[in-house]
Amino acid sequence: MTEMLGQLASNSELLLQGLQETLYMVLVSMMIAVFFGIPLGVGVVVTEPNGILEKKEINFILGSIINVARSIPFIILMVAIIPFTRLIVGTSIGTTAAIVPLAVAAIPFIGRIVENSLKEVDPGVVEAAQAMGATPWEIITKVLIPEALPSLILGITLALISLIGYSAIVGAVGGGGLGDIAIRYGYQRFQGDVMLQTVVILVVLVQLIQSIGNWLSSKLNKAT
Amino acid sequence: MIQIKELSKVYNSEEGQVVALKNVNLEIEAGQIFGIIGPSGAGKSSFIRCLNLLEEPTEGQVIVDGQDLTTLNTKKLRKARKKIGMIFQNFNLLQSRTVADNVAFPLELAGVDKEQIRVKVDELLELVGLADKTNNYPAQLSGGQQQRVGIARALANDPKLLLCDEATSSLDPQTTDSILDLLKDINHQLGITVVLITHEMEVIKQICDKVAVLEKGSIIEEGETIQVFTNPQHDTTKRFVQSVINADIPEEFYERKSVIEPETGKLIKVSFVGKSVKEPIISNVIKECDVDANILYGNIDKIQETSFGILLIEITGNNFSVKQAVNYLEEQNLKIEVIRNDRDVRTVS
Repeated sequence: MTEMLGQLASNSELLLQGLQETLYMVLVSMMIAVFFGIPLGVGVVVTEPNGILEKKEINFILGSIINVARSIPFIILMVAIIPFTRLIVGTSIGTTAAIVPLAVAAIPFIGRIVENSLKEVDPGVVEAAQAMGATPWEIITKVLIPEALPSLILGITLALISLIGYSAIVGAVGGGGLGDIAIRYGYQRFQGDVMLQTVVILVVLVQLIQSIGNWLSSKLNKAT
Repeated sequence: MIQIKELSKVYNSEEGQVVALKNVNLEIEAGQIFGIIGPSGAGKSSFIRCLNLLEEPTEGQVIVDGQDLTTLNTKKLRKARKKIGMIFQNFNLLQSRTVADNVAFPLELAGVDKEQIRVKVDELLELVGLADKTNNYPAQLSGGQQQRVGIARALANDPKLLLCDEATSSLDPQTTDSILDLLKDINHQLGITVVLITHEMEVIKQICDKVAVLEKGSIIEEGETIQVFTNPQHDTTKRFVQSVINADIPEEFYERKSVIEPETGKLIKVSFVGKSVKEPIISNVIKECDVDANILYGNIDKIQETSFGILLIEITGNNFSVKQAVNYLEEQNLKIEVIRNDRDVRTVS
Protein backbone atom coordinates (compact mmCIF):
# COMPACT_ATOMS: atom_id res chain seq x y z
CA MET A 1 0.00 0.00 0.00
CA THR A 2 2.72 2.44 1.04
CA GLU A 3 4.70 1.35 -1.99
CA MET A 4 1.74 2.16 -4.21
CA LEU A 5 1.30 5.55 -2.60
CA GLY A 6 4.99 6.22 -3.15
CA GLN A 7 4.67 5.41 -6.82
CA LEU A 8 1.59 7.57 -7.04
CA ALA A 9 3.53 10.50 -5.57
CA SER A 10 6.36 10.08 -8.07
CA ASN A 11 3.92 9.99 -10.96
CA SER A 12 1.59 12.60 -9.52
CA GLU A 13 2.65 15.48 -11.70
CA LEU A 14 2.18 13.43 -14.83
CA LEU A 15 -1.18 12.05 -13.73
CA LEU A 16 -2.48 15.44 -12.60
CA GLN A 17 -1.70 16.91 -15.96
CA GLY A 18 -3.43 14.00 -17.68
CA LEU A 19 -6.50 14.42 -15.49
CA GLN A 20 -6.64 18.11 -16.27
CA GLU A 21 -6.40 17.45 -20.00
CA THR A 22 -9.10 14.78 -19.82
CA LEU A 23 -11.45 17.04 -17.87
CA TYR A 24 -10.75 19.92 -20.23
CA MET A 25 -11.52 17.82 -23.34
CA VAL A 26 -14.58 16.15 -21.90
CA LEU A 27 -16.16 19.18 -20.27
CA VAL A 28 -15.66 21.57 -23.18
CA SER A 29 -16.87 19.07 -25.77
CA MET A 30 -19.81 18.27 -23.50
CA MET A 31 -20.82 21.92 -23.32
CA ILE A 32 -20.67 22.18 -27.09
CA ALA A 33 -22.62 18.95 -27.46
CA VAL A 34 -25.34 20.10 -25.07
CA PHE A 35 -25.55 23.44 -26.87
CA PHE A 36 -26.20 21.78 -30.23
CA GLY A 37 -27.66 18.47 -29.07
CA ILE A 38 -30.60 19.93 -27.14
CA PRO A 39 -32.01 21.82 -30.14
CA LEU A 40 -31.42 18.72 -32.25
CA GLY A 41 -33.34 16.44 -29.88
CA VAL A 42 -36.10 19.01 -29.29
CA GLY A 43 -36.35 19.49 -33.06
CA VAL A 44 -36.90 15.80 -33.65
CA VAL A 45 -39.58 15.56 -30.98
CA VAL A 46 -41.62 18.63 -31.94
CA THR A 47 -41.61 17.91 -35.66
CA GLU A 48 -42.68 14.31 -35.44
CA PRO A 49 -46.25 13.31 -36.45
CA ASN A 50 -48.75 14.82 -33.99
CA GLY A 51 -45.97 16.90 -32.48
CA ILE A 52 -46.53 20.54 -31.59
CA LEU A 53 -44.77 21.68 -34.79
CA GLU A 54 -45.40 18.68 -37.00
CA LYS A 55 -43.14 18.82 -40.05
CA LYS A 56 -42.38 15.55 -41.78
CA GLU A 57 -39.39 16.66 -43.89
CA ILE A 58 -37.52 18.36 -41.04
CA ASN A 59 -38.22 15.41 -38.80
CA PHE A 60 -36.74 13.07 -41.39
CA ILE A 61 -33.62 15.19 -41.86
CA LEU A 62 -32.94 15.61 -38.14
CA GLY A 63 -33.63 11.94 -37.47
CA SER A 64 -31.21 10.96 -40.23
CA ILE A 65 -28.47 13.23 -38.89
CA ILE A 66 -28.70 11.50 -35.53
CA ASN A 67 -28.80 8.00 -36.99
CA VAL A 68 -25.96 8.46 -39.46
CA ALA A 69 -23.65 10.20 -37.01
CA ARG A 70 -24.41 7.63 -34.32
CA SER A 71 -23.56 4.73 -36.59
CA ILE A 72 -20.05 5.87 -37.51
CA PRO A 73 -17.46 4.31 -35.15
CA PHE A 74 -15.75 7.06 -33.20
CA ILE A 75 -12.22 6.26 -34.31
CA ILE A 76 -13.26 6.56 -37.97
CA LEU A 77 -15.24 9.73 -37.37
CA MET A 78 -12.22 11.26 -35.66
CA VAL A 79 -9.97 10.64 -38.63
CA ALA A 80 -12.62 11.50 -41.20
CA ILE A 81 -13.22 14.97 -39.83
CA ILE A 82 -9.56 15.98 -39.57
CA PRO A 83 -9.97 18.64 -42.32
CA PHE A 84 -12.90 20.09 -40.42
CA THR A 85 -10.92 20.06 -37.17
CA ARG A 86 -8.06 21.85 -38.88
CA LEU A 87 -10.47 24.43 -40.24
CA ILE A 88 -11.78 25.20 -36.77
CA VAL A 89 -8.73 24.97 -34.48
CA GLY A 90 -5.99 25.34 -37.06
CA THR A 91 -4.42 22.01 -36.19
CA SER A 92 -5.53 18.43 -35.89
CA ILE A 93 -3.12 17.51 -33.09
CA GLY A 94 -3.33 18.33 -29.38
CA THR A 95 -5.86 18.50 -26.63
CA THR A 96 -7.84 21.42 -28.04
CA ALA A 97 -8.02 19.80 -31.45
CA ALA A 98 -9.39 16.65 -29.77
CA ILE A 99 -12.40 18.60 -28.58
CA VAL A 100 -13.76 18.85 -32.14
CA PRO A 101 -14.26 15.13 -32.86
CA LEU A 102 -15.43 14.55 -29.29
CA ALA A 103 -18.10 17.25 -29.63
CA VAL A 104 -19.13 16.07 -33.08
CA ALA A 105 -19.61 12.55 -31.77
CA ALA A 106 -21.45 13.72 -28.67
CA ILE A 107 -23.96 16.03 -30.41
CA PRO A 108 -26.09 13.24 -31.96
CA PHE A 109 -25.68 11.22 -28.77
CA ILE A 110 -27.12 14.07 -26.72
CA GLY A 111 -29.72 14.61 -29.44
CA ARG A 112 -30.99 11.07 -29.03
CA ILE A 113 -30.93 11.31 -25.24
CA VAL A 114 -32.94 14.54 -25.35
CA GLU A 115 -35.37 12.96 -27.81
CA ASN A 116 -35.96 9.95 -25.57
CA SER A 117 -36.34 12.05 -22.44
CA LEU A 118 -38.82 14.46 -23.99
CA LYS A 119 -40.89 11.59 -25.37
CA GLU A 120 -41.41 10.41 -21.81
CA VAL A 121 -43.27 13.61 -20.94
CA ASP A 122 -47.00 12.95 -20.56
CA PRO A 123 -48.73 14.14 -23.75
CA GLY A 124 -51.68 15.18 -21.60
CA VAL A 125 -49.56 17.87 -19.96
CA VAL A 126 -48.64 19.24 -23.38
CA GLU A 127 -52.30 19.19 -24.35
CA ALA A 128 -53.18 21.09 -21.17
CA ALA A 129 -50.61 23.76 -22.05
CA GLN A 130 -52.03 24.02 -25.56
CA ALA A 131 -55.50 24.42 -24.10
CA MET A 132 -54.14 27.32 -22.04
CA GLY A 133 -52.93 29.05 -25.17
CA ALA A 134 -49.20 28.33 -24.78
CA THR A 135 -46.98 28.92 -27.83
CA PRO A 136 -44.75 26.09 -29.09
CA TRP A 137 -41.73 27.90 -27.62
CA GLU A 138 -43.46 28.16 -24.24
CA ILE A 139 -44.34 24.48 -24.39
CA ILE A 140 -40.70 23.58 -25.08
CA THR A 141 -39.17 25.83 -22.44
CA LYS A 142 -41.83 25.70 -19.75
CA VAL A 143 -43.27 22.22 -20.15
CA LEU A 144 -41.15 19.73 -22.10
CA ILE A 145 -37.68 20.56 -20.77
CA PRO A 146 -38.60 21.19 -17.11
CA GLU A 147 -40.77 18.05 -17.01
CA ALA A 148 -38.01 15.96 -18.61
CA LEU A 149 -35.18 17.46 -16.55
CA PRO A 150 -34.54 14.56 -14.14
CA SER A 151 -34.35 12.17 -17.08
CA LEU A 152 -32.21 14.63 -19.09
CA ILE A 153 -29.72 14.85 -16.24
CA LEU A 154 -29.35 11.08 -16.14
CA GLY A 155 -28.91 11.01 -19.90
CA ILE A 156 -26.27 13.70 -19.86
CA THR A 157 -24.47 11.82 -17.09
CA LEU A 158 -24.41 8.77 -19.31
CA ALA A 159 -23.09 10.82 -22.23
CA LEU A 160 -20.40 12.37 -20.04
CA ILE A 161 -19.14 8.93 -19.02
CA SER A 162 -19.11 7.75 -22.63
CA LEU A 163 -17.13 10.86 -23.54
CA ILE A 164 -14.48 9.95 -20.98
CA GLY A 165 -14.14 6.66 -22.82
CA TYR A 166 -13.87 8.42 -26.17
CA SER A 167 -11.29 10.82 -24.74
CA ALA A 168 -8.96 7.86 -24.15
CA ILE A 169 -9.17 7.11 -27.86
CA VAL A 170 -8.26 10.65 -28.90
CA GLY A 171 -5.35 10.33 -26.49
CA ALA A 172 -3.97 7.62 -28.71
CA VAL A 173 -3.64 10.05 -31.61
CA GLY A 174 -2.04 12.93 -29.82
CA GLY A 175 -4.92 14.36 -27.86
CA GLY A 176 -3.32 14.02 -24.45
CA GLY A 177 -5.21 13.13 -21.31
CA LEU A 178 -5.24 10.09 -19.03
CA GLY A 179 -5.84 7.67 -21.87
CA ASP A 180 -2.74 8.93 -23.62
CA ILE A 181 -0.66 8.46 -20.46
CA ALA A 182 -1.98 4.96 -19.97
CA ILE A 183 -0.96 3.96 -23.47
CA ARG A 184 2.38 5.73 -23.71
CA TYR A 185 3.69 5.00 -20.23
CA GLY A 186 1.69 2.02 -19.13
CA TYR A 187 1.54 0.04 -22.36
CA GLN A 188 4.45 1.10 -24.54
CA ARG A 189 6.99 1.57 -21.70
CA PHE A 190 5.72 -1.33 -19.61
CA GLN A 191 5.09 0.90 -16.57
CA GLY A 192 2.37 -1.20 -14.98
CA ASP A 193 2.05 1.18 -12.04
CA VAL A 194 1.14 4.11 -14.30
CA MET A 195 -1.41 1.98 -16.11
CA LEU A 196 -2.98 0.92 -12.81
CA GLN A 197 -3.05 4.43 -11.47
CA THR A 198 -4.76 5.91 -14.55
CA VAL A 199 -7.38 3.18 -14.42
CA VAL A 200 -8.02 3.87 -10.74
CA ILE A 201 -8.37 7.58 -11.43
CA LEU A 202 -10.77 6.92 -14.30
CA VAL A 203 -12.88 4.56 -12.20
CA VAL A 204 -13.09 7.12 -9.40
CA LEU A 205 -13.93 9.87 -11.90
CA VAL A 206 -16.72 7.85 -13.52
CA GLN A 207 -18.09 6.86 -10.14
CA LEU A 208 -18.07 10.47 -9.01
CA ILE A 209 -19.86 11.73 -12.12
CA GLN A 210 -22.50 9.00 -11.90
CA SER A 211 -23.13 9.73 -8.22
CA ILE A 212 -23.48 13.45 -8.82
CA GLY A 213 -25.81 12.78 -11.77
CA ASN A 214 -27.99 10.40 -9.76
CA TRP A 215 -28.16 12.76 -6.83
CA LEU A 216 -29.08 15.76 -8.96
CA SER A 217 -31.65 13.82 -10.94
CA SER A 218 -33.43 12.47 -7.91
CA LYS A 219 -33.32 15.86 -6.23
CA LEU A 220 -35.07 17.37 -9.24
CA ASN A 221 -37.54 14.53 -9.64
CA LYS A 222 -40.81 15.59 -8.05
CA ALA A 223 -42.93 13.04 -9.85
CA THR A 224 -42.61 10.30 -7.27
CA MET B 1 -72.64 31.23 -25.22
CA ILE B 2 -71.76 28.39 -27.58
CA GLN B 3 -73.24 27.63 -30.96
CA ILE B 4 -72.12 24.55 -32.77
CA LYS B 5 -73.19 24.35 -36.36
CA GLU B 6 -72.89 21.38 -38.67
CA LEU B 7 -69.81 20.17 -36.80
CA SER B 8 -68.06 17.16 -38.30
CA LYS B 9 -64.78 15.54 -37.46
CA VAL B 10 -63.20 12.87 -39.62
CA TYR B 11 -59.88 11.23 -38.86
CA ASN B 12 -57.80 9.85 -41.68
CA SER B 13 -55.95 6.79 -40.58
CA GLU B 14 -54.16 4.07 -42.46
CA GLU B 15 -57.20 1.82 -42.18
CA GLY B 16 -59.35 4.49 -43.77
CA GLN B 17 -61.56 7.29 -42.56
CA VAL B 18 -63.02 7.32 -39.10
CA VAL B 19 -66.00 9.58 -38.59
CA ALA B 20 -65.93 10.83 -35.01
CA LEU B 21 -68.63 13.48 -35.28
CA LYS B 22 -71.19 14.09 -37.98
CA ASN B 23 -73.36 17.15 -38.40
CA VAL B 24 -73.60 18.06 -34.76
CA ASN B 25 -75.75 21.10 -34.04
CA LEU B 26 -75.98 22.33 -30.50
CA GLU B 27 -76.63 25.50 -28.60
CA ILE B 28 -75.38 25.97 -25.07
CA GLU B 29 -76.66 28.90 -23.08
CA ALA B 30 -74.50 31.02 -20.83
CA GLY B 31 -74.50 30.06 -17.16
CA GLN B 32 -75.60 26.50 -17.75
CA ILE B 33 -73.98 23.25 -16.79
CA PHE B 34 -74.32 21.26 -19.97
CA GLY B 35 -73.54 17.56 -20.00
CA ILE B 36 -72.76 15.36 -22.95
CA ILE B 37 -73.08 11.69 -22.24
CA GLY B 38 -72.38 8.77 -24.48
CA PRO B 39 -70.87 5.31 -24.55
CA SER B 40 -67.14 5.07 -25.19
CA GLY B 41 -66.26 5.69 -28.81
CA ALA B 42 -69.29 7.94 -29.29
CA GLY B 43 -67.12 10.95 -30.08
CA LYS B 44 -67.32 12.74 -26.72
CA SER B 45 -63.61 13.35 -26.50
CA SER B 46 -63.43 14.72 -30.06
CA PHE B 47 -66.46 16.87 -29.35
CA ILE B 48 -65.04 18.61 -26.29
CA ARG B 49 -61.69 19.14 -28.03
CA CYS B 50 -63.47 20.82 -30.92
CA LEU B 51 -64.81 23.41 -28.48
CA ASN B 52 -61.33 24.90 -27.98
CA LEU B 53 -59.98 23.59 -31.27
CA LEU B 54 -57.48 21.19 -29.72
CA GLU B 55 -59.00 19.12 -32.49
CA GLU B 56 -59.64 21.00 -35.66
CA PRO B 57 -63.15 20.34 -36.99
CA THR B 58 -63.27 18.85 -40.48
CA GLU B 59 -66.38 20.89 -41.15
CA GLY B 60 -68.67 23.29 -39.33
CA GLN B 61 -68.50 26.22 -37.02
CA VAL B 62 -67.74 26.52 -33.33
CA ILE B 63 -68.90 29.88 -32.06
CA VAL B 64 -67.86 30.66 -28.50
CA ASP B 65 -69.00 33.94 -27.00
CA GLY B 66 -69.80 35.37 -30.42
CA GLN B 67 -66.46 34.39 -31.95
CA ASP B 68 -66.18 31.68 -34.59
CA LEU B 69 -63.06 29.83 -33.45
CA THR B 70 -62.64 28.02 -36.75
CA THR B 71 -61.88 31.28 -38.56
CA LEU B 72 -59.18 32.50 -36.15
CA ASN B 73 -55.45 32.44 -36.93
CA THR B 74 -53.11 30.68 -34.49
CA LYS B 75 -52.31 33.82 -32.54
CA LYS B 76 -55.94 34.83 -32.06
CA LEU B 77 -56.88 31.24 -31.26
CA ARG B 78 -54.27 31.14 -28.49
CA LYS B 79 -55.74 34.32 -27.09
CA ALA B 80 -59.26 32.91 -27.24
CA ARG B 81 -58.11 29.72 -25.49
CA LYS B 82 -56.89 31.74 -22.53
CA LYS B 83 -60.54 32.50 -21.82
CA ILE B 84 -61.60 28.86 -22.02
CA GLY B 85 -60.56 26.76 -19.03
CA MET B 86 -60.19 23.02 -19.32
CA ILE B 87 -59.81 20.16 -16.85
CA PHE B 88 -58.90 16.58 -17.66
CA GLN B 89 -59.52 13.02 -16.57
CA ASN B 90 -55.86 12.56 -15.66
CA PHE B 91 -55.50 16.11 -14.27
CA ASN B 92 -52.46 16.80 -16.50
CA LEU B 93 -50.57 18.83 -13.93
CA LEU B 94 -46.91 19.72 -14.33
CA GLN B 95 -45.09 17.29 -12.06
CA SER B 96 -42.05 19.54 -11.79
CA ARG B 97 -44.01 22.47 -10.42
CA THR B 98 -45.57 23.01 -7.00
CA VAL B 99 -49.32 23.38 -6.60
CA ALA B 100 -48.99 27.17 -6.54
CA ASP B 101 -46.72 27.21 -9.60
CA ASN B 102 -49.15 24.99 -11.51
CA VAL B 103 -51.96 27.43 -10.85
CA ALA B 104 -49.62 30.29 -11.75
CA PHE B 105 -48.73 28.70 -15.09
CA PRO B 106 -51.60 30.06 -17.22
CA LEU B 107 -51.09 33.47 -15.62
CA GLU B 108 -47.40 33.40 -16.60
CA LEU B 109 -48.45 32.55 -20.14
CA ALA B 110 -50.81 35.51 -20.10
CA GLY B 111 -47.99 37.81 -18.98
CA VAL B 112 -49.43 38.75 -15.60
CA ASP B 113 -46.86 40.30 -13.26
CA LYS B 114 -45.46 38.34 -10.32
CA GLU B 115 -47.20 40.14 -7.49
CA GLN B 116 -50.61 39.85 -9.14
CA ILE B 117 -49.97 36.17 -9.84
CA ARG B 118 -49.25 35.56 -6.16
CA VAL B 119 -52.48 37.23 -5.07
CA LYS B 120 -54.56 35.43 -7.69
CA VAL B 121 -53.02 32.03 -6.91
CA ASP B 122 -53.78 32.41 -3.20
CA GLU B 123 -57.34 33.39 -4.01
CA LEU B 124 -57.85 30.39 -6.32
CA LEU B 125 -56.33 27.87 -3.92
CA GLU B 126 -58.59 29.24 -1.21
CA LEU B 127 -61.58 28.76 -3.54
CA VAL B 128 -60.79 25.10 -4.22
CA GLY B 129 -59.87 24.41 -0.60
CA LEU B 130 -56.16 23.76 -1.03
CA ALA B 131 -54.68 26.80 0.67
CA ASP B 132 -52.56 24.52 2.85
CA LYS B 133 -51.02 22.63 -0.09
CA THR B 134 -49.42 25.62 -1.83
CA ASN B 135 -45.88 24.27 -1.77
CA ASN B 136 -46.62 20.59 -2.29
CA TYR B 137 -45.94 18.82 -5.55
CA PRO B 138 -48.77 17.10 -7.46
CA ALA B 139 -47.32 13.64 -6.74
CA GLN B 140 -47.88 14.30 -3.03
CA LEU B 141 -51.61 14.88 -3.50
CA SER B 142 -54.60 12.55 -3.83
CA GLY B 143 -56.54 12.33 -7.09
CA GLY B 144 -59.30 14.59 -5.81
CA GLN B 145 -56.79 17.18 -4.63
CA GLN B 146 -55.00 17.07 -7.97
CA GLN B 147 -58.27 17.70 -9.77
CA ARG B 148 -58.85 20.68 -7.47
CA VAL B 149 -55.50 22.06 -8.56
CA GLY B 150 -56.62 21.44 -12.15
CA ILE B 151 -59.78 23.41 -11.51
CA ALA B 152 -57.90 26.29 -9.88
CA ARG B 153 -55.53 26.34 -12.84
CA ALA B 154 -58.42 26.32 -15.32
CA LEU B 155 -60.02 29.29 -13.55
CA ALA B 156 -56.85 31.38 -13.36
CA ASN B 157 -57.53 33.59 -16.35
CA ASP B 158 -61.17 34.20 -15.36
CA PRO B 159 -62.65 32.14 -18.18
CA LYS B 160 -66.29 32.37 -19.19
CA LEU B 161 -66.33 28.74 -20.15
CA LEU B 162 -65.00 25.64 -18.41
CA LEU B 163 -64.59 22.41 -20.35
CA CYS B 164 -64.48 19.19 -18.33
CA ASP B 165 -63.06 16.14 -20.08
CA GLU B 166 -64.24 13.14 -18.01
CA ALA B 167 -63.10 15.13 -15.00
CA THR B 168 -64.34 12.66 -12.41
CA SER B 169 -63.89 9.38 -14.27
CA SER B 170 -60.71 8.39 -12.48
CA LEU B 171 -61.99 9.33 -9.02
CA ASP B 172 -63.81 7.26 -6.43
CA PRO B 173 -67.55 7.98 -5.88
CA GLN B 174 -67.04 10.07 -2.76
CA THR B 175 -64.34 12.23 -4.33
CA THR B 176 -66.46 12.51 -7.47
CA ASP B 177 -69.25 14.01 -5.37
CA SER B 178 -66.97 16.60 -3.82
CA ILE B 179 -65.54 17.61 -7.21
CA LEU B 180 -69.05 17.86 -8.69
CA ASP B 181 -70.11 20.03 -5.76
CA LEU B 182 -67.14 22.27 -6.41
CA LEU B 183 -68.02 22.58 -10.10
CA LYS B 184 -71.58 23.44 -9.17
CA ASP B 185 -70.39 26.09 -6.72
CA ILE B 186 -68.14 27.59 -9.35
CA ASN B 187 -71.02 27.67 -11.81
CA HIS B 188 -73.27 29.39 -9.26
CA GLN B 189 -70.75 31.77 -7.71
CA LEU B 190 -68.80 32.83 -10.76
CA GLY B 191 -71.46 32.31 -13.40
CA ILE B 192 -69.11 30.26 -15.55
CA THR B 193 -70.71 28.11 -18.22
CA VAL B 194 -69.63 24.50 -17.74
CA VAL B 195 -69.57 21.91 -20.52
CA LEU B 196 -68.71 18.40 -19.46
CA ILE B 197 -68.45 15.06 -21.15
CA THR B 198 -68.91 11.88 -19.20
CA HIS B 199 -69.99 8.28 -19.49
CA GLU B 200 -71.47 8.34 -16.01
CA MET B 201 -75.16 9.22 -15.82
CA GLU B 202 -74.67 9.95 -12.13
CA VAL B 203 -72.63 13.03 -13.06
CA ILE B 204 -75.40 14.30 -15.33
CA LYS B 205 -77.98 13.63 -12.64
CA GLN B 206 -76.08 15.50 -9.98
CA ILE B 207 -75.12 18.73 -11.69
CA CYS B 208 -76.27 19.17 -15.27
CA ASP B 209 -79.06 21.56 -16.21
CA LYS B 210 -79.22 20.17 -19.71
CA VAL B 211 -77.96 17.02 -21.30
CA ALA B 212 -77.27 15.77 -24.79
CA VAL B 213 -76.80 12.11 -25.59
CA LEU B 214 -74.12 11.37 -28.13
CA GLU B 215 -74.01 8.11 -30.01
CA LYS B 216 -71.86 7.20 -33.01
CA GLY B 217 -70.96 10.84 -33.58
CA SER B 218 -74.49 12.21 -33.55
CA ILE B 219 -76.67 13.75 -30.90
CA ILE B 220 -79.63 11.44 -30.53
CA GLU B 221 -81.42 13.18 -27.71
CA GLU B 222 -81.19 16.51 -25.97
CA GLY B 223 -83.12 18.39 -23.34
CA GLU B 224 -83.49 19.50 -19.74
CA THR B 225 -81.97 16.89 -17.47
CA ILE B 226 -85.22 16.32 -15.59
CA GLN B 227 -87.09 15.73 -18.84
CA VAL B 228 -84.55 13.35 -20.23
CA PHE B 229 -84.57 11.44 -16.97
CA THR B 230 -88.33 11.20 -16.59
CA ASN B 231 -89.14 10.68 -20.22
CA PRO B 232 -86.21 9.21 -22.15
CA GLN B 233 -86.98 8.58 -25.81
CA HIS B 234 -84.07 6.71 -27.26
CA ASP B 235 -82.99 3.22 -26.20
CA THR B 236 -79.46 4.34 -25.37
CA THR B 237 -80.84 7.13 -23.23
CA LYS B 238 -83.16 4.70 -21.46
CA ARG B 239 -80.23 2.47 -20.66
CA PHE B 240 -78.28 5.39 -19.25
CA VAL B 241 -81.24 6.51 -17.15
CA GLN B 242 -81.74 2.99 -15.85
CA SER B 243 -78.12 2.84 -14.82
CA VAL B 244 -78.84 5.34 -12.05
CA ILE B 245 -82.58 5.32 -11.57
CA ASN B 246 -84.79 2.29 -11.68
CA ALA B 247 -88.23 3.53 -12.68
CA ASP B 248 -89.51 0.06 -13.38
CA ILE B 249 -91.70 -1.95 -11.12
CA PRO B 250 -90.22 -5.27 -10.13
CA GLU B 251 -91.84 -8.16 -12.04
CA GLU B 252 -93.20 -9.93 -8.99
CA PHE B 253 -95.78 -7.19 -8.39
CA TYR B 254 -97.51 -7.86 -11.69
CA GLU B 255 -98.36 -11.33 -10.53
CA ARG B 256 -99.22 -10.43 -7.01
CA LYS B 257 -102.73 -11.33 -5.92
CA SER B 258 -104.70 -8.70 -4.18
CA VAL B 259 -104.77 -9.35 -0.49
CA ILE B 260 -108.13 -7.87 0.13
CA GLU B 261 -111.15 -7.62 -2.13
CA PRO B 262 -109.61 -8.96 -5.31
CA GLU B 263 -112.78 -8.17 -7.26
CA THR B 264 -112.55 -4.44 -6.93
CA GLY B 265 -108.89 -3.71 -6.16
CA LYS B 266 -106.76 -1.85 -8.64
CA LEU B 267 -103.03 -1.82 -8.90
CA ILE B 268 -101.95 1.65 -9.91
CA LYS B 269 -98.59 3.04 -10.89
CA VAL B 270 -98.28 6.70 -10.06
CA SER B 271 -95.41 8.65 -11.62
CA PHE B 272 -94.70 12.10 -10.35
CA VAL B 273 -92.30 14.93 -10.98
CA GLY B 274 -91.67 18.08 -9.05
CA LYS B 275 -93.85 19.80 -6.55
CA SER B 276 -96.67 17.28 -6.29
CA VAL B 277 -94.25 15.16 -4.32
CA LYS B 278 -94.67 17.48 -1.40
CA GLU B 279 -98.47 17.06 -1.17
CA PRO B 280 -100.00 14.27 0.92
CA ILE B 281 -101.68 12.66 -2.09
CA ILE B 282 -102.17 9.22 -0.68
CA SER B 283 -103.76 10.31 2.53
CA ASN B 284 -105.97 12.70 0.56
CA VAL B 285 -107.19 9.85 -1.62
CA ILE B 286 -108.09 7.80 1.41
CA LYS B 287 -109.99 10.66 2.99
CA GLU B 288 -111.75 11.94 -0.10
CA CYS B 289 -112.79 8.71 -1.74
CA ASP B 290 -113.40 6.23 1.04
CA VAL B 291 -110.90 3.69 -0.17
CA ASP B 292 -107.94 1.91 1.34
CA ALA B 293 -104.54 2.40 -0.19
CA ASN B 294 -101.77 -0.04 0.24
CA ILE B 295 -98.31 1.08 -0.84
CA LEU B 296 -96.54 -1.87 -2.40
CA TYR B 297 -93.46 -0.31 -3.87
CA GLY B 298 -91.93 3.11 -4.19
CA ASN B 299 -88.90 4.74 -5.67
CA ILE B 300 -88.27 8.43 -5.25
CA ASP B 301 -85.19 10.17 -6.51
CA LYS B 302 -83.95 13.66 -6.83
CA ILE B 303 -82.37 15.37 -9.80
CA GLN B 304 -80.75 18.36 -8.23
CA GLU B 305 -83.73 20.28 -6.77
CA THR B 306 -86.51 18.30 -8.42
CA SER B 307 -87.91 15.12 -6.94
CA PHE B 308 -89.43 12.48 -9.10
CA GLY B 309 -90.31 8.86 -8.84
CA ILE B 310 -92.90 6.14 -8.96
CA LEU B 311 -95.25 4.67 -6.46
CA LEU B 312 -97.13 1.40 -6.82
CA ILE B 313 -100.33 1.42 -4.84
CA GLU B 314 -103.18 -0.95 -4.49
CA ILE B 315 -106.49 0.74 -4.01
CA THR B 316 -109.33 -1.23 -2.58
CA GLY B 317 -112.93 -0.35 -1.84
CA ASN B 318 -116.22 -0.62 -3.61
CA ASN B 319 -116.29 -0.24 -7.38
CA PHE B 320 -117.51 3.31 -7.32
CA SER B 321 -115.06 4.67 -4.81
CA VAL B 322 -112.12 2.99 -6.56
CA LYS B 323 -113.08 4.72 -9.82
CA GLN B 324 -113.46 7.95 -7.94
CA ALA B 325 -110.00 7.52 -6.45
CA VAL B 326 -108.44 6.98 -9.85
CA ASN B 327 -110.15 10.12 -11.13
CA TYR B 328 -108.94 12.05 -8.13
CA LEU B 329 -105.34 11.03 -8.76
CA GLU B 330 -105.60 11.96 -12.42
CA GLU B 331 -106.82 15.41 -11.44
CA GLN B 332 -103.64 15.95 -9.43
CA ASN B 333 -101.60 16.12 -12.65
CA LEU B 334 -100.02 12.80 -11.95
CA LYS B 335 -99.25 10.20 -14.53
CA ILE B 336 -101.49 7.28 -13.68
CA GLU B 337 -101.23 3.82 -15.08
CA VAL B 338 -103.63 1.12 -14.05
CA ILE B 339 -101.47 -1.92 -14.09
CA ARG B 340 -104.04 -4.52 -13.26
CA ASN B 341 -107.65 -3.90 -14.03
CA ASP B 342 -110.70 -5.96 -13.22
CA ARG B 343 -110.17 -8.34 -16.11
CA ASP B 344 -106.71 -9.21 -14.86
CA VAL B 345 -108.02 -9.63 -11.38
CA ARG B 346 -110.48 -12.21 -12.61
CA THR B 347 -107.77 -14.16 -14.34
CA VAL B 348 -105.62 -14.06 -11.28
CA SER B 349 -108.36 -15.10 -8.88
